[in-house]
Order: sequence, then C-alpha cells, then structure tokens
Amino acid sequence: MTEAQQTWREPDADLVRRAMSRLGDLQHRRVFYEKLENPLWVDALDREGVFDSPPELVVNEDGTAHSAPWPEGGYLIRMASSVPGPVARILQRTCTSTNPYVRQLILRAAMALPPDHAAPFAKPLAQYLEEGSLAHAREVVDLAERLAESGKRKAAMRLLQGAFRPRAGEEAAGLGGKRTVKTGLERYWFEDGLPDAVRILVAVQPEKALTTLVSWLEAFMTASGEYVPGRLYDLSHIWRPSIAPHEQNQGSEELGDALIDAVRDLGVRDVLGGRDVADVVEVFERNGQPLSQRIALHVLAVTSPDTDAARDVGFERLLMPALMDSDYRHEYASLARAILPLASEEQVEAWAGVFDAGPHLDDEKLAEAAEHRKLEGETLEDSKVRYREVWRLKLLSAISRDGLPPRYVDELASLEERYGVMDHAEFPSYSTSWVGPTSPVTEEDLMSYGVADLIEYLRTWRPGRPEPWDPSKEGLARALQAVVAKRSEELSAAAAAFADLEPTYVRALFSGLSDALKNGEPVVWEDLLVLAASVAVREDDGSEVSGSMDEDLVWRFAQRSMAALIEQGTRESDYGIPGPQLVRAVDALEPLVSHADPTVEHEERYGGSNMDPLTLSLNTTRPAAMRALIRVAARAKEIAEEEQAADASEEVVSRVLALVDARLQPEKDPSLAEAAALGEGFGRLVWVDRGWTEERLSLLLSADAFGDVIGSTALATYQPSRVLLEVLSPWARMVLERVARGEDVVAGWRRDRGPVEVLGDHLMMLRLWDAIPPDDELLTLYFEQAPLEARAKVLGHLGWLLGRSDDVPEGPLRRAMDFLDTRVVRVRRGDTDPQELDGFYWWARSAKFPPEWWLPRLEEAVRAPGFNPRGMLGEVLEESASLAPASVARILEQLLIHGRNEPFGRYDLIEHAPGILAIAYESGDGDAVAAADRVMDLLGRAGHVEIGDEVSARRQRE
Amino acid sequence: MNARRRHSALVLGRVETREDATVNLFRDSLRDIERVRHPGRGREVDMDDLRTRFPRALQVVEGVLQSRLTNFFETVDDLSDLLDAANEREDGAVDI
Repeated sequence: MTEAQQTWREPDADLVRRAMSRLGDLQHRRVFYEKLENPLWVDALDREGVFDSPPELVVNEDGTAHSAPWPEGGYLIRMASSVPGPVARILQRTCTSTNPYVRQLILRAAMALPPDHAAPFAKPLAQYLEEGSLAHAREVVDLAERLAESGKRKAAMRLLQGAFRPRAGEEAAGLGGKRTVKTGLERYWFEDGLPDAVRILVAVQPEKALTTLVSWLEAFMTASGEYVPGRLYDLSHIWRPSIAPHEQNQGSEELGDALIDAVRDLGVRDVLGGRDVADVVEVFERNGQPLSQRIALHVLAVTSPDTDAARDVGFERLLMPALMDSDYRHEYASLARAILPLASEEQVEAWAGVFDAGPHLDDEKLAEAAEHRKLEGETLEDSKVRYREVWRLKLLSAISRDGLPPRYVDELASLEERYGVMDHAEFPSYSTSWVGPTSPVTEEDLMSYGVADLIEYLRTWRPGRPEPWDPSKEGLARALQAVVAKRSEELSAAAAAFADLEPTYVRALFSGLSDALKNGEPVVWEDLLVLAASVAVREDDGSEVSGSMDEDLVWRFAQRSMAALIEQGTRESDYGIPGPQLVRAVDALEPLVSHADPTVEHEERYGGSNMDPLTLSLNTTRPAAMRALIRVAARAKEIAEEEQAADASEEVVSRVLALVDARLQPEKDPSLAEAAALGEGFGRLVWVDRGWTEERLSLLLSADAFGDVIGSTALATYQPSRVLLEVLSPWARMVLERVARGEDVVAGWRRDRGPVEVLGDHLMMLRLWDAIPPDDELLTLYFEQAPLEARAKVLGHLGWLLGRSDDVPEGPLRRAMDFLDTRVVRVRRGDTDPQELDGFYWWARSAKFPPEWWLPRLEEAVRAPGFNPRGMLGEVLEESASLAPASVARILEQLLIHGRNEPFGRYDLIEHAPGILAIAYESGDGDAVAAADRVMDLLGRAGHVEIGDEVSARRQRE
Repeated sequence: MNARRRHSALVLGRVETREDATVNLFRDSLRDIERVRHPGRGREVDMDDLRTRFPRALQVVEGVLQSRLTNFFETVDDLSDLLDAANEREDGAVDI
C-alpha cells in the first residue's frame, strides 16, 4: 500500500453493499462512480464482482451497433495510477471484450498505468487496432512513445505495427473498383500520427527504422493491388508522378502518399546523417517494386551534390537501361540532371553508350510498338526510326538542356525542330484542366464586327482540330449570344441576315435577344418574327440526336429558343411584341404546336421517374410552343382591355384557342409534357375565355394522368383564386374520391408537396381570405376524404406560412383559429385521428396566436404518438411557461416520452427544460410541481443527471 | 421469463441476461429472506446469524426498491451521502 493510499479509509462490506443496492439504474452508477475517489474501493468492489460484466456491443435490427457506457470502467481508469496492480489485473480479464467502448477504456487505462503495467496491454491493443476498434485513437502513438522511452521496445513496436502497417481490405464494388487498404488508424489520424511514429521508430531501432517503413509501403502496394509480386510493374507513376512534392501529385492515395513522403524523407536523412549509401539504396531496391526504386533514385538525386558516395551509386543507376523506361523517367531525369554535369568524360561516354543503345526493347517489342504507332503511308522501318527518335527526344527533354552533355543539347534542338517541343517530358502523363467550349474569337472582338462581317464570319468559320479544348461552333455561339444581348436592337433589326446561317447561330441569336429583353434592352420585332416563322418550318423529325456536342445538328433547339423569345416578348415591357404583331407570333408558333418533339420514345426515356412533366415541358419543343402560344393570347386580351378594344384581340385569341383545341380533339396529344404546358397555361385560358375552357373540361381535366398533370400543374403554378378553384372543382372532387380509394395522382411538378396537399393549401388559403365559406362543400369534402398525412401537412404548412408572414390581418388569423378549432373538436369527439394535428407546432411557433389559445390545443396534439416538433417548440414553451406552468410541464413530459428517438428535437427540449421546470417549481401549483417531478425523473434516468443542478441554479437566479 | 431476467427487470429497469453484481446481491438477499419466511423442516436456523443477515438483506431489498420507485434525484441525494462515507479519509476528512 502506498503512502497516499494509507490515508484513505478501507471500505467496510456493509457500506459497499448499501451503495451497490442503490446502483440498479445506469445513471445512478454514473453519478456514483464518477465521484468515487477512494482507490481502496477497487479491490472491495472487485470482490463483489462489480467489474466482471463490462457491457457488450448490441447489434440493432438495422445492422447498426451501440454500447451502453461502463461507469465502473471509468472509475478504474481514474484509479489506474493510484492502484495500478489491481486495475491492471482486473482489466486483463476484460481484454477479450469485443465492445469498442470497453476497448477504448482499456487504451485509456494503459495510458494511465505505469509502463511496467501498461506493456502487457500492447498485444491486445494491437489486435484491437487491426480489428478497427481504435481507428480514431491517435493516443496509441503517445502510448507507444511512452513505452519506447521506458525501454519497452517490443511493446512499442507492437502498437506501431498495429496502427500503421497496411493490410488488404475489401474489394471495392463497381467498375474499376480496386481493393481498399486498411490500417489500424483511419486515414486522417494515420497521416497525423505517421511523423511521430517515424520518430519513435528511429528511437527504438535506429538502423532498422527505414526497413520497417519501406516494409509498410511495400505492404500498402501489395494490399492495394498496385503492385503484383513478380511483375515488376506498378501504377505509381500515374498516381504519384513525382516522388518529390509537386503539383502533379494529386494526393489520391492518401495512405500511399503519406508513406512515400515518410520513406523518402527518412532515406534522405539517413544518407545525409552518414549512413552507408549503398545500404540505404539496398533497403529500397530489395523488394523489386518500381515505386521503391523511384524513391531510391530520388534519394540519390537529392544527396549526390553533398555526398560522393551518393554520386557513385547514382551514376551506376544512370547506366541501368531498365531505369530509362518511362515509368522511372521523372526520378531518372532528376538524377541525371544532378549527376551528368559533374561526370567525367569517361562517365559521359559510358552513359552515352547506354543511351545510344536505347530504347531498350528486343526486336519483337520494338516492332510491336512501331506498328502500333505507324502513321498512314509509313513503312514499319520508318516507324521504328521515328519511335527511336521520339524516345530520345522525350528522355533528353526530361533531363533538359541544363543537365545534358553539350553534344546532346544540339541533338535535342534538332529533334525538337522535327517533332516539336515536348512540354512536361519528365512525366509519362500530365494532368491539366480546361473550361470550355472555346470560341475562335473573343467576345470583345466579335463586338467590334459590323453586321455584314459578323454574318460572313459565322457563315465561313470552320473548326480546325477536333480536340475538346479547341475552338468550336458551340464556343462561337456562346460568344455570339453575349454579343447579341448587348447589341439587341441592331441585330434584331438585321434578323433576316441570319436566315441562312446554321441552327447553332440562329439559336444563339434568339437566346441572346431573350437575355436582352430580361435586361430591359430594346428588340425590334418585325423582321425577327419573319425569321421566326422561317425557322419554325425547318424540318426536324424529333428523333434522338447523337454525336457532336459542339454544334446543333437539328433545328429544334433554335425553334425552342424562338418560342422562349416569343414567350419573353409577351411579358409586360417597353420592348415586348407590339399588339398588331402578335398575330405574326401566332404564325411563327403554329408549326411548332404540332412538332414531333417530344416523341413517345423521348418521353419514355427522359420523363417518368427521371424528369417530371413540367421540367420536361421546358426542354421539349411542342410544349414550349404551347406555353408561348397561350401567353400570346393572354397578352392580346390584356392589350385589348388596356385599349378598351375587344375586337383587337379576337383574331389572335380565336386562332390560339383553335390551335389548343387541335391538340385535344379529335385526337388528344398523349404527351404529359404537353399536359404540363397546358396546366401552366390553364389559368390564362380561363381568363382568356372561361366558357371555352369549361366546355373542354372533360378533355382537359380527364380522369387520367393527362388530366392529373394539367390540374396539379395549375394548382402548383398559380396563386389560390376562387375562380381557378371553381373551374378545377369537378376535377378536385374526382381526385379526392380517387385518393380515398387508394389511387395515386400524377404530379405535373414534383416537389416536396404532392397534388393533394397543394389542393388543401389552396382551400385553406381561400378560407383564410374568406373567399369560401367555412362550410364550403369542397373544403368539407377535403377534410373528409384526403389522407390523414395530407390533412396534417396542410394544417402544419398553414402554420408555417403564417409564421413567415408579416402583418397578417386579424380576420384571417381569426378564421384560421376557428377552422383549427373545428378540427380539434372533431379530434376530441373521436371523429378524426389526433395525428391530423401533427403539424400544430408550427402554429405554436408562428408567434401569431396567443399562448392561451394554442397551449391547451398543443397539449391535446402532443398526445398523438407520432407528434414530432422537430426542435421547434422549446423556446416558445419556455416563453409561455409562466402563463400556464402545469400545462407547459405536461407538454414537455409528453414530448420527452414520445421523442426518445429524436436526438435533434430532444436537444431543443432539454436546452429549455431547466427554465420550464424552474418556473413550474416556483409557481407553487401542485399540478405543475408534480409534472416537473416526473420530467426530472425522466431526464435523470435518461442520463441528464445535471438537470437537478441546472434547475436549482435557474430558481436561485430568478 | 426466468428468475434472473425478472430480477434484472426489477433491479436494472431492463432485461439483462448477463451477470450483474447488484442483481446478484438483490437475488441473494431475497433468498435469505425467503429462507426465513419458509423455514425448512430439517434445516437448522442459527438465530445469531439470522439477526445479522436478515436486516442486511432487508436493507438491500429496500435500497433496490427505493432506487427504482422514488424520484431519480432522491436516490442521487442518497448516493451523495454514501459517497461522503466512501471518500472519507482516516482522519475523517472528505475529498470534495
């Protein structure tokens, strides 16, 4: 017994049993063991078997795992330095645990134990590392260091091997998947701890540290499949182009890169520190891996200026034909640059002899390589000569003029003249980035062209080389679009000149003019609409386009841009399409209304689960034309009303309605993208001619996907309006009947709220603004037939909307409260499920309603099992607690009971619990105090043992 | 449900199949009480031993039940008293 222990009182068996009898609850154990300071209790508790059952890992049904805490273990760790013998003895018994939490505790205990007691834990800890239980435990490196400093070298080495030696993981799935590599520490901690590990290795085994490190790198290469033993080939020149730091190193192999850096630096340090160079190089070359060989070349290159021995060994490597291969080139060239300028004449001659004999391929391989690279019309012999010369050019370029003997400087110049300058020749492959497409002429230059020159340039320019980064028609079109947006008046007036240009440039013209209109720039429409009409009749059968992305191979993109321009021209603006010319816009759009795009095949491929009908309608021609056409009619009527001349719009409106009609009957267009365009225009059609629209409701709002898309798109794209809902109500009734039968409704615009919910949103908003009465038939039907989840979402969404709105008048708020009350009454009567009030927390949080109103309703709502306030209620509950302390405490209790598995929502409640509970206790209200007691018990048993102190502190403060 | 599971549910508040020192203490105490409640015909009763063990057993059972049934923080207060005793030094000082 140490002197320090002697001052503690030995526990008597009765006290130990009394304590144990109170420690059934896990949280009581936490409270007790976290504050137990007496080390003499270790043996006393051990005799009672307290440490015999550390918790085990529990695998949940979903495959995840969790572990209960082990407060007894925490106490052992704290006692480790006081009574190391008993603690070590007890923990040795728990080493077989598979629970990561317990394993972590064993590591922490080993950190706290004196080295003699800690060393035996190295073996199990190394095993835990290999099994991945301590992947984030950077402390193992500190433990290894402490053990090494105390002379426990073997134990220290065990830990380092467990933490840093790579081993094969699982085969990664998918195309090109390679094997994963595992280490005891995960990537970040591996990289963070490796420099310290190297330092410890050097301290523990000064001569063998490099060997160990190289063996780790070798293990990485084998485990990752980068190197196959016996093949003398690896891919390191691709993922690690340079052994020295370089921007071409992408860092894609985090473990491998970290190990290369460590091995490289230690190799250089060993040589500069006086270690025999041949020994060091032998350590690298022993495993035969190209990567290790490259590191050896790098070490020799770096150390040769200062070390004669490195120069001698390095020169021997320069004479090895195999190392002139491209896989070694970066490091070989670097070594040559360092040594050749210092070499004697004899040495240069010797090197020249090897170089001149290259490329070092046997006849068969040389013929194969030359054949593979043979140019059109070239003989095999000529190709061999060229192959050899290019090989020499690459190696000489890589070494560079500064490192070459004079006669090779001349040869390099001559080879460059024949084959061009080799950029980045020291790398077998070189990565660079590019952003395109590229225009052959800058936007600034294009701006300076007169119209005639511009048209001529667009007509005559042809792309040169087919590389992706080379100038393309698409690149030129983008520059043109920007220029058109800035010179819109001039170029729209000259639209006729574009008539014979390719579709890529015509599209750019229309798109640039759309941009100009959006920016308030002037557009001249007369000739433009003539061009539009001529573009509309260009042939395009709608079939799928494949091939070059550098130009438009069909006309539909230009036609769609034209429709979009006309749509833009119908918006109120100084430069929109003048009223008299709207009929010309109809002329231009008419051919497109029956365009082949989208074909059924296109819609099957890109629609469905891929793109919703509304999105597809924006990217296909026929719907784009329909959208623009309906807007033209609406604009015509608008202008006629402004000018109080109804006749002015008659021709345009009647032609538009006839064209729409033609898509509905006698044969209906089956396209859902077209339906979405009609849905987006539905409100305008009602406004343009309600009678005409109502006569065609059975065609427009049919009981199928087509009708669903029109109806749901109309609801999703228009603000609530009584007229719109009146016209839509037959469809809405039908939809409610269908969903009541469990059928689905197809959404035209897929977003977080489905068609049935959006219908509810419209109804609620109309009720709030008193546009429909409280007993409106459709509203009543909605709350009778819509699914429970939709009703709950509609009510919740309304609360959310009100919370986001400023200055909501009293009337709508009153009607919202009245309506909600009718639902609460139904819940109370059992006529509807309480889950209908699941979103009521938004109402409470909206700050638009008095707490006296929402608190009792919230108390009813929270009783529903699925009620989840998602962290939204804590603050408002605390703010309202003084008004109704018992009610708020009871709400808190229910939320905590039902929200056990909602960590975020629970956090919010626990943050505000001390304030709520302090108010409840201070209120003196018996119900409030009883509810607060229950909440305290709940929280304490859930591990929030500090809540008692927090509530006390709050009560004192307030 | 076997006796161990029943006892663990009562003592720990959850069903636990593994050994637990507090559950074992409770089970042993209950057994001691049961032995007195149902004395075996052929079993001798050592009254001195009984006078010592019975109150201890009762105390354990009482402690376990109180911890489960009373408010969490009442037991925390009790534990605080026990910790004062456990952390006492020979000279009577208590580490805070």
